[in-house]
Amino acid sequence: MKYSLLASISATALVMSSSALAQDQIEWSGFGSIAAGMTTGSNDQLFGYDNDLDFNPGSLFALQAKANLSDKLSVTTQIMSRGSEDFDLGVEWAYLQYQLTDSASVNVGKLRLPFYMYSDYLDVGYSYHWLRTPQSVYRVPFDNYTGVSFQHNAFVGDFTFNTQVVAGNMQDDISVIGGETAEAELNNLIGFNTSAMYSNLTMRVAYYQTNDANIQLRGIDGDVDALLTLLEQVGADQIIAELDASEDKGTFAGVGVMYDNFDWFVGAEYTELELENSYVPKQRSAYITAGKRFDSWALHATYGKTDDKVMNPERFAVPDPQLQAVVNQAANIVVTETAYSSIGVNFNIAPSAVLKFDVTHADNKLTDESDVLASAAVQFVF
Amino acid sequence: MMKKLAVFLIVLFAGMLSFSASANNGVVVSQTEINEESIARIYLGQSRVLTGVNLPEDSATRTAFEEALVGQTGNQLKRHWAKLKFTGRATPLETLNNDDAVIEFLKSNPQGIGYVSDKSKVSGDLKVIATF
Repeated sequence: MKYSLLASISATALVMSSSALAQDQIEWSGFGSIAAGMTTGSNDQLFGYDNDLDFNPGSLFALQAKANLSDKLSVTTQIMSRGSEDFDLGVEWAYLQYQLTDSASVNVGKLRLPFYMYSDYLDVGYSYHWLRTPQSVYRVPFDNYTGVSFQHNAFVGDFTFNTQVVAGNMQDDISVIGGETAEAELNNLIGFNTSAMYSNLTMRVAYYQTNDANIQLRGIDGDVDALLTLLEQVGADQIIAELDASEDKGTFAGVGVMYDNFDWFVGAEYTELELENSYVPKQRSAYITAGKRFDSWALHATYGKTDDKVMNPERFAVPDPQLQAVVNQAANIVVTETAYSSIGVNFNIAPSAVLKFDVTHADNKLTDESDVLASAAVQFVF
Repeated sequence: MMKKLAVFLIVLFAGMLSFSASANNGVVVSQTEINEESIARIYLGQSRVLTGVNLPEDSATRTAFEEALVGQTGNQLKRHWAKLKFTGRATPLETLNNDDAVIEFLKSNPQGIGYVSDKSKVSGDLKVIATF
């Protein structure tokens, strides 16, 4: 509550400053992506696309306004309209930034939660080589938090270290089982990430944790409700506690590396997410990517996979075999073991715009299904 | 043999250096002394120790400066700055129209740094920090 108040304060400050300051003191900028995609098989579904050509899932527009309130204090908001959300306008970022020193600053407000190497730029497709970030790894169903972030740059020898420490909470409707949405809340979220840059090489580590993670599962899916009611009736409260994500401890750890000498690049990321005592399995995710740039175009390929694991399955043990089968099904409902391979080609069509083509093949090892998605996008900044 | 090779490499390297210096006549200018690594950090948005200014994107001097001293191409830097701008990590550097505008800015800003194509314009309190 306190943090969402801060977000509104910063938004209000921007509105106020826009009237108080001359027009040219507000820096306007923006970015966008117009993407189209369709799967090749009539029953294939991937990343929100099916066999009909669709412009919505990957398209977005964003406008950013920044106003300097003093030499050191500024306020920034980023308004975004996503095709996946019927182009409804939403505030993606809204924060006050205070420059502490030449190399340190603090942000307060609604911010991006920097789980991954490319989290910060997730929506700015223009800034990375993929058409979309690898979904094997970039799969946490929320992007933002409200709170504070402290950033620091340090130079040690030929290394540049960029460190960010965050604290806050997250409250959002996230998509869960079968595309249904559920209320999720992470409180007392703290963590950090550090990137070390040495010439063309960037290495990154990240760690975040919360001691109070909640996902409200009741009331969104009839089968889940029926199961929970049944477990209550037989007095298996312990099993409900193990399935429920309620006041549970969650941890996220990630490592990433990218070498880019501009002629060619190669990189990889590995992440692990755990939500203890809940139905969410331990999520292990990885990808490796490489590509080569030519004069005005680039070619790249990425291989990624998810490898989830139900931790301590014995905690779901019930005496009744029939009930056990249903409980097991619930405990495995979001387990994925999918391999993704994709190739892409990009063309610089203007100094600030890239045309990208991508073909991604997803191979679900658990259901033995495979889906192929072809997409094209124009991504730009202004 | 090793010695000859070393001499050859040194001569070749020196030749390349003088070639790149003579190909352009650009200089980095500021009132404040600063080392060459800091120039790259300022133009990569990693350090705010001095306030950098740019020439327009289509300027050949800017291209030469970015490749020689920042170590990146224009396209690469454009992507890099897009990241910084939309994540609040740095504010884009101001772009001035030509050498004269840069010199004028630097004369009135002791904490400023810039680059120009013509060394002869450097005068008064301004110092040449690097050449490219």
